[in-house]
Amino acid sequence: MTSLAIIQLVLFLLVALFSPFLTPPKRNQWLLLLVLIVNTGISAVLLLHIESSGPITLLLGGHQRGLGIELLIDAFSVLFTLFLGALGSVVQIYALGFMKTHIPKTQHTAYSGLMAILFFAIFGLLYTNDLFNTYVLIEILSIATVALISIVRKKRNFMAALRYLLISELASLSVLFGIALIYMVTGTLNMTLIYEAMPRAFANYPINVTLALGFMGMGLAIKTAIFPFHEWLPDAYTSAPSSSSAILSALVSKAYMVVLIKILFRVFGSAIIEQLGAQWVMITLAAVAMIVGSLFALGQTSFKRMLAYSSVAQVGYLLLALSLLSRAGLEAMLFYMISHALIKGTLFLVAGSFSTQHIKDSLKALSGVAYVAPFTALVLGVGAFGMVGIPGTSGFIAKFHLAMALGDASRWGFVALIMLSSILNAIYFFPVIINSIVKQTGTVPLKRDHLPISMVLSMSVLLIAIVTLGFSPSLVLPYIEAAVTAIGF
Amino acid sequence: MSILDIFVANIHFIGAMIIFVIGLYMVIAHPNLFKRIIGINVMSSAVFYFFVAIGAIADGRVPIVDGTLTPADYINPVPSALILTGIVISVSFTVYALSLAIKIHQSYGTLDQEKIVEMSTRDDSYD
Repeated sequence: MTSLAIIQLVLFLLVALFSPFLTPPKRNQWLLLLVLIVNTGISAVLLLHIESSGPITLLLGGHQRGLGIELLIDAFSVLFTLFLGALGSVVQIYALGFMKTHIPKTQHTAYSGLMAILFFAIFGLLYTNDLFNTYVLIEILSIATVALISIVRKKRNFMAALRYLLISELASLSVLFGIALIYMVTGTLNMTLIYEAMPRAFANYPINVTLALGFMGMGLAIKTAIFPFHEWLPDAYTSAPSSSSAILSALVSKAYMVVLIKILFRVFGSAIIEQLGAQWVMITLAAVAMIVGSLFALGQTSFKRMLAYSSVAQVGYLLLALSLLSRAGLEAMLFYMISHALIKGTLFLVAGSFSTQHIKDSLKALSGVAYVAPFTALVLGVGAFGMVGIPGTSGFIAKFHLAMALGDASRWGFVALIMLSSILNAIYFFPVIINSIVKQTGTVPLKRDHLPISMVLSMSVLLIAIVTLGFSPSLVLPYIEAAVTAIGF
Repeated sequence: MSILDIFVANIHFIGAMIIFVIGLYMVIAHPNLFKRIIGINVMSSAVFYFFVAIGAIADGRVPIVDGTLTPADYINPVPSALILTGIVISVSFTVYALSLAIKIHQSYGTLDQEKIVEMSTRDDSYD
């Protein structure tokens, strides 16, 4: 029972290892899907196990605590492996149909292999309780992500991939520098032991701890595309094939967010962050990101670029919730992460469905699309409603919880800011929906979508998930509460 | 303790910081992609240097225990072991980045980022 988490990691590695030998490549895709579903199931079993008998600590190699790598399987990490694994399976179902037309045949094997490595890194990042291991997994994740962008052999993709690779390596090195500074004053890499040693280290060597927080914060700010460090994001998200864009925006950025939470609350602890005043930095960046990201999105002519800039704004929301450093704030943040991953993932899949049906990726080309591809347009509508925060979608509940958390901390100014940013969201999303319904030229009989069944299935599942969470958020809220308790609030 | 003493005592850490900033400057300021890749390598060397320097002590021995010395005589081997992993990662990054640079040079004929950005006309159709 206790070593199930290791089986998850090993399964992903095995898929990556055997993917070059399995022919035809189609089998790889099914194998990856199978492993994803099995691992999601394992996470569900682990979640139930933890609920009844507490968190599991695994010491790899049987070394003494503090010497070897330690995995911490608790309500927080398992909630996210369960969610990201499930979402990954749904996107993989979509990829079964999407790949045929959009990814060159020769690259199909590489796609599933890279995807397996990517999931290995995400699961590892969530479970690990060791700082250096975190760095290694961040590097694995960033190289796998970049490779997923350069998998389409186009000029633009190479350039986007190299720029992303350079900037994310810069970020990883920044994180490693932070780890070195922490190791220097605490003498350990185990997060729990560092957390225990932190108050003394901070009292004796405040410069080291401050610099470490700065370096790690900057590194993760680049990775999660927090506002002034978001330059790489639009190119990376738009040039990747849509199923990869969905993985990038829904899974990878959330995994880095989880790392940020772990570093802030399990390594430094909220007391030190408050003492250094880091929450004010976060609040400022969040407020700017929420407005500026939306303004950038307003100016785009490409649908995928618009989604990418809207992600910049959404990271601002997450950071705003994080900056409260409170239980309510963290609960709101975790729900927002789940909701945003669902909605943004769905919208990128919609972009992929348009391109499968030879509809150009420009906002102009989307006018009247509801008559050509009614199902995709329906999913687009629900996704856009979710982004704006219309009641009945998970986006509304997420924004509501965030506003409540801000209200508890009596930061009413930021509640107003959320409203303003939501209005901006509406300004750029509603014209897309209206355009898609209102056909300008003549009347064309209603057509049906020309999509592979797997793509329809996957988008339907996400659609149902968004609406279900919108009507009964209580399905996940208890697990989120348990996760926040596990973080230490 | 005078400033000079502090400087001498922390010479490794200060040196590593200076190299780190030099690398960072190369990455940010240089338009040539190849030089930027080298800049990242300079940065990673600086971080590795810093990390290994944490474990070093004056007149420290290689940590092979033969029973004649006390533990305080040995250097801390953990940072060195960690940095071996770091070097492997750095090498794989460099290989991948250079292979991308070759592809970019093949398709654009230059590695100057400003020229490439000029060349790539805005095409708003994405997959």
